[in-house]
Amino acid sequence: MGQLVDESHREATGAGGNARRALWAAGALISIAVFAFGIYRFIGRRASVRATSSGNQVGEILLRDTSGREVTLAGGHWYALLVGSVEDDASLVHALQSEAARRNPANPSVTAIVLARDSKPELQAYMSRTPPTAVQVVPVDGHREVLASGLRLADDRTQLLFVNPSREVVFRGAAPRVTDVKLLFERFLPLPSGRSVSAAPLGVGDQLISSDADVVNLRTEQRDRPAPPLLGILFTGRCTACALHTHMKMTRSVENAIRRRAAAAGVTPVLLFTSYFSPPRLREQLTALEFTLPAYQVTSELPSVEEIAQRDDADVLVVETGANGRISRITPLAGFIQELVEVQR
Amino acid sequence: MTNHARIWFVACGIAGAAGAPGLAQSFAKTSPIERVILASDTGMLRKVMTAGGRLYVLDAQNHRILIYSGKNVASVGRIGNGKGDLYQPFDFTVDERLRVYVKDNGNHRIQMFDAQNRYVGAFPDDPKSLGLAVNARGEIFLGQPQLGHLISVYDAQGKKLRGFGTLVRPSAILGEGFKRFDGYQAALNRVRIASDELGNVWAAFVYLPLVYKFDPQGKLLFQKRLQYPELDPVISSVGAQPPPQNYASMNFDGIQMTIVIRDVTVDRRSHTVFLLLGNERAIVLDRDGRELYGLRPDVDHGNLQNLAVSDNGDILATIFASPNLYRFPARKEVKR
Repeated sequence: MGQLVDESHREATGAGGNARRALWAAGALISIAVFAFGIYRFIGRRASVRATSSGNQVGEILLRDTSGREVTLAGGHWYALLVGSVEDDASLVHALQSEAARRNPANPSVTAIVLARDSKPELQAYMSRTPPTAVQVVPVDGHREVLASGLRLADDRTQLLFVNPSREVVFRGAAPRVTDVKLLFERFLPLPSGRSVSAAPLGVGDQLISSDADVVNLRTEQRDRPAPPLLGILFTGRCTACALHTHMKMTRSVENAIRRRAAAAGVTPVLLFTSYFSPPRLREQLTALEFTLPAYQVTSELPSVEEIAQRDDADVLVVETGANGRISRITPLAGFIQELVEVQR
Repeated sequence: MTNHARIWFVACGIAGAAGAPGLAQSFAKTSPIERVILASDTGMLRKVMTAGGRLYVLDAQNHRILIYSGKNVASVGRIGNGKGDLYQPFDFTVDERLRVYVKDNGNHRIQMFDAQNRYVGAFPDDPKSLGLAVNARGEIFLGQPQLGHLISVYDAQGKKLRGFGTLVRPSAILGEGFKRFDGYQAALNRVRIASDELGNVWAAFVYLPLVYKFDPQGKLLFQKRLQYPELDPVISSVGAQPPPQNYASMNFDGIQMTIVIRDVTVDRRSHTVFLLLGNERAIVLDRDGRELYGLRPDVDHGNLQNLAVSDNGDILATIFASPNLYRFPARKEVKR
């Protein structure tokens, strides 16, 4: 600081130096004051704009989805809004789509919207590979002013909002889990029976993976599907965190026994995951646990399995199929491991 | 009980003061723990607690607390933002009158329910706390190092009554090699809290090998530095990026940190305190902070996150991201 004073003193020398110095100082002070006032106003305005929260009324707003179609946030209708990324929050997007689809055939009264924070190229890539779904994807970029007038977003975290037909926000929460989407739909838009009407639970004789299902090999990240007959360890996604942290470890600890069992039966052992899981997290955990079994994710809907995940206490199922891909046996993982332990004795 | 559900715990006798050599030689196997079959389905559990003959389980996945009493099951909370709703509940405790206090993390508040599980009030959890306890007078203790002291005390209306506990400079405990964390003093002074039958407050540092015991007014009675060879790898991994795979870590204040002490629990009947350490070793202390014995769980399928002592002396445990509750009749078989 002392050095700076010395420098200014050196510059302000010569005839009329004092007057010029005084003028310069006055000008600088005025500039600083104006700048500080501007900052103060800006901060004050930012602080006074509170994010839309539960109990707030949402203003009527008109948005356009990635295809240019109008999406109106108006009254008389339920809205489920996910603010996030179609890439990073893929499992949430899928859950939103799935829950909305389950309700809309019987009672078309909920609009599911993803307010996507992804960049334009990311969104274009997503839309090009994703078939049209019950979810409307609206880019946040390009709608910031519109959104600010009717729906103020809190911060950069992923958020979930439910808006009732009176345009009142009845729920807002940050960092939701996949299961939260289901719970919120059950709370605010319960199905008449409290159960799904779209799918029957998985059963013996059913096709495990239908021919039109999208299946990705998690090792190669390419579309690929395991050839039956299979011994599939099927992670339903009822509780994805439980599966990632507990059930996968449990399965890894008996992986060799599973291989032996499959070899004896002449079937291929595989790990199968529903679309409720985040692919990066799955790949990370498969690597961390050093799984050697082939691993696949069904990235499209697997209604019968998802039905089990939503309705029953079934995180992991062991599903055996014949050469035609039809299920010959279903066992909960716990019971299957018990069998393995008894065989080893 | 099924074999796959068994998790073997190993008990160790700890002779002498903390850090005494020979700790590893005195491990002794106890009977296996088993999965507790609960009377209702649960999602992933975050905490278990017992009080007044009831079993309380925080079902984090379903945003509720389940209360088991005999054959009856009651529930507190459901997903939502309204009064009595919960969103991402992180912690809870129960007082002597069986009122339930919940750190309703996603809604940024502390909520209270009476013994009949009815909503009775709430106040803002601001600044964000970690560590929750309540004493017989209904005073609520929150770990809020952002306020310049370890613990803040509130009444049921959310009025702050007092604060106590001097913040620790991390390098003073972890060593000069950790001086870079001195700038994160609030983050590294996060504590788990438990209140004993006399109203004393135990504060176990989440990221430091340190335990404090305060009297009911907040006067420091003693501090205990945990110095076990088995803890050394945990401590040396504090701040490691990424944190070691086998140690639990948490990002609560914007930095991912290895957890040194996961939980502190008071067993009011036996006047003992359980510390669940970052390496899944549990140390049992008497009321003066002396080690009575230690437990080393060998958990194949997950990480322990919380322990509780049931009315019959069983140890109950939750495992990170597991929907199951486990129990373990440890103490009768522990070799001293």
